[in-house]
Amino acid sequence: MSNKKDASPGIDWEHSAQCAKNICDPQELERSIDWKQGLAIALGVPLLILPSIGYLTSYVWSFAIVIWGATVLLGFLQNFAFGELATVFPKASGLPGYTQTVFGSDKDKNNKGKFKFGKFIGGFSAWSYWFGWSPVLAIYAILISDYLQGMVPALSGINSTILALIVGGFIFGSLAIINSKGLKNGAAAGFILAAISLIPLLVITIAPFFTGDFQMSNITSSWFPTDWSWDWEHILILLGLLAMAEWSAAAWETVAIYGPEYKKPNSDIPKALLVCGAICLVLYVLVQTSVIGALGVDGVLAEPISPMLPLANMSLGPMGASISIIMLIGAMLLIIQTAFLSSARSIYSMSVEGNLPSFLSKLNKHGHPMNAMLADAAFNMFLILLGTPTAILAASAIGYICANGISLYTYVKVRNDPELSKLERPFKAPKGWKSVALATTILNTPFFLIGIIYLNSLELGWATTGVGFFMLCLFIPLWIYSQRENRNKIPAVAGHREHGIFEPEPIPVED
Amino acid sequence: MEIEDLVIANFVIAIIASSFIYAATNPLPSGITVLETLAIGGLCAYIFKNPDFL
Repeated sequence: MSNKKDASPGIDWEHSAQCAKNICDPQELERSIDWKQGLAIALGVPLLILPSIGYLTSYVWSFAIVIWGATVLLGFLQNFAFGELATVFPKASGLPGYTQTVFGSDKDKNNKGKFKFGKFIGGFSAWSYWFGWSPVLAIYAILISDYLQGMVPALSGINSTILALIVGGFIFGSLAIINSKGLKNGAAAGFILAAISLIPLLVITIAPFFTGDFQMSNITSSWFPTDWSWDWEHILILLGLLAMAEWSAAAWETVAIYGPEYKKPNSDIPKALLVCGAICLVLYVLVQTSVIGALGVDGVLAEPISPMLPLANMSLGPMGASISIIMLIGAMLLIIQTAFLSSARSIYSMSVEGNLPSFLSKLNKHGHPMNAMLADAAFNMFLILLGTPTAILAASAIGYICANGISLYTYVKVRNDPELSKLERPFKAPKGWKSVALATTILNTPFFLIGIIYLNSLELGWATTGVGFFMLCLFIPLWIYSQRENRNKIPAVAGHREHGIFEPEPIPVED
Repeated sequence: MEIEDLVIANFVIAIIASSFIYAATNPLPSGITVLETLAIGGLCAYIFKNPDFL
């Protein structure tokens, strides 16, 4: 240990001792997946387009295709930075892990004294990230129960909230059991769900190009609504739509959140990020192009929630419609699985860093953060009681934008910091990426944030934004409680430096 | 200016700008004035407490 300390004199070993295991638990997340398995879990991300196809089309018609493409490309700009962070801190859990590690350092002058300002910012970013991902569980559980009520007449008499609670309880419970044996099983579940949802999605999307239902004129004749103008109100709407789109189309950074669980993080993380980004770029653009090209803008607006159903009917007949409902339910399960794993790891990461109560970082015997997962499931069962998925989604997008903005600042800080910039980074973003990251940061906060707040106020009133900010502010009392808990525990942690998050670890030799 | 200050500045700008935009485009609910006062007051308090802010 002392050798390592000497080898990196500037590294904050005191902080690493605390942040890595304030729970004094010798267990760590198990390194059990390769890049393909990480990719499989994140394959739910392309399906996040489904509920937003009609929403974007209603505001900007065919220009929605450009918005999706631009957002995935923006995701590339951001995720190159996150890919580099993943290899600098291979033990950190994705975006929440990086921000907490970098901002939470005890040597940072912002963390001297009673109020640790940097630590608070890092924790707040992780909390925002969790709030960006977690409500996906409740939203899709409500949607699945709605589809089931539409499909099975016998269920139509049941109270929709009670049915959503039953569906949610069953899905969350099943996934918790599957994932409790480690991430490998989660990846296996991801493979199965990806097969039953992505393949039909591709078939339904590509079919109109071969059946002759796709008409290019449907796109070229309706790029923007007739009353569209480039005044400041419409630019704000555009920023808000980009923020909403980012919640879906840039969410493939989730492959980096499994950083501590990749067998070869230095090569697995960048590989999984690039392949997932490429898949998202193709699918997001293709799906929106196919839907508008085949149905026309009016056709999409006639079925804004599920435009894939008329598309399947048109190209594949009634059988296609049945397949597409099954596909949608499979897709929603995959999204829930992806979000469940991401948000549970965010909770785990916050608890490990001392930003949430320590019982949430307990691992089960398979090295899985089961307490975090159960807490996440309980929170979403509560959200289901609210019964309004649109409002939940709009509020959670605010959290996601905040998290993205702060995470990109983390990258800038790491590149600026004289000590952190010297840390080994097997994957390095291209030269000048610090400026790119800074530009995308400012795009996220304040511009996207202003846009999404404006869009929410137009669409759903002030209440949605209020819910979003209330949830974000809820972090403050939890954080204060955790700081008190940490102060009582720190002496007991001193002997566990070997688990430091900055600690160079033996990474398996590449083949 | 440190990164932490930039983070705070960006959030304050977003909140103030949003509240002004909202006030300009909607009938004012009572909470908006309170929010503006809190955001501007918070920013002033932060700057006074951190004279090296810029």
